[in-house]
Amino acid sequence: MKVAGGWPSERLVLAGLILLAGIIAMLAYAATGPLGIEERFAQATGMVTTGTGEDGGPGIAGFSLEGQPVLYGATLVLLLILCGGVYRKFGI
Amino acid sequence: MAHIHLEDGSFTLFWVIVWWVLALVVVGAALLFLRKKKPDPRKITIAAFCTAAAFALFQVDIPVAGGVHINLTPLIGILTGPLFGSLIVLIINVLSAAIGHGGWGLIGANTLVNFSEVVVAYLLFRVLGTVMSDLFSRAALATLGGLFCGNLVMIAIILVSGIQGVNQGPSQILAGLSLIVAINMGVAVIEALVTGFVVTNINKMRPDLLDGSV
Repeated sequence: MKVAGGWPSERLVLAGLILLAGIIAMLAYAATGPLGIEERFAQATGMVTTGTGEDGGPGIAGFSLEGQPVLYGATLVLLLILCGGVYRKFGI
Repeated sequence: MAHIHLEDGSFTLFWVIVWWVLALVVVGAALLFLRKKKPDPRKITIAAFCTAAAFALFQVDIPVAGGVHINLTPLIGILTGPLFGSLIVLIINVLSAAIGHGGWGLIGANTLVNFSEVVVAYLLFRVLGTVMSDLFSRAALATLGGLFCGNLVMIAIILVSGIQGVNQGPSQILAGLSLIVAINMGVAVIEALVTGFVVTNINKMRPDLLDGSV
């Protein structure tokens, strides 16, 4: 079903939910401040972090890796080789 | 998205074993059904690509709200269904722990969290198909629903298990985790839009890939 603006009514429902989720997320962010994922969990549960996890480094443009970058690259290459093999065998 | 980012030792050994056993029961049941059902071999290829893509994105911290990552679990559910989906989320969680993202003891719990996202997104995508014509909205809403459910399962698992060595009560932990869920749902919006675009484009190029997930 189309509404006046030409958008299906489903998209208005989706837009409303997105707006609601965005507002709630911003309020929550204002309450907790800029924390990493582990720090946010530690704060929520009252844990003291030991900081022994693998450090993914500073990253690029704010995007960083969780876990060990070399192992990440090696695992991804193995998965891609596996994908290639499965693709050759079964196709899509 | 919903993923328990606690260190090994956060849960007692009893609860680590309970969540591992439940996860293995789910995966074992999926394997049994797959053996009986003889799935379309193309689904195996799609599942392999979903595993690689989800693993790749799972480890990337997006600089939003201090750092979050997306899961692609709803997309996995929509493209491959819950049977392959359960295997994919187990593999992703094992590989993630192997490179230092998440504890080994939490693989079972995180597999259950991600499996709930896969199942709910899969079901919502199909149920919404009977009442909605817009594919983008259908996929995005299924994603939001799946990820919200995953967050609820995450909270439930943490509250049921309890956390060793903390002085906070369940109500304080619930309040803290609720803030995480609120932030996660903000990120779920990004994942919903990504999933909506991917599903819409797949439908334009290869609509057969969206038919009849096992």
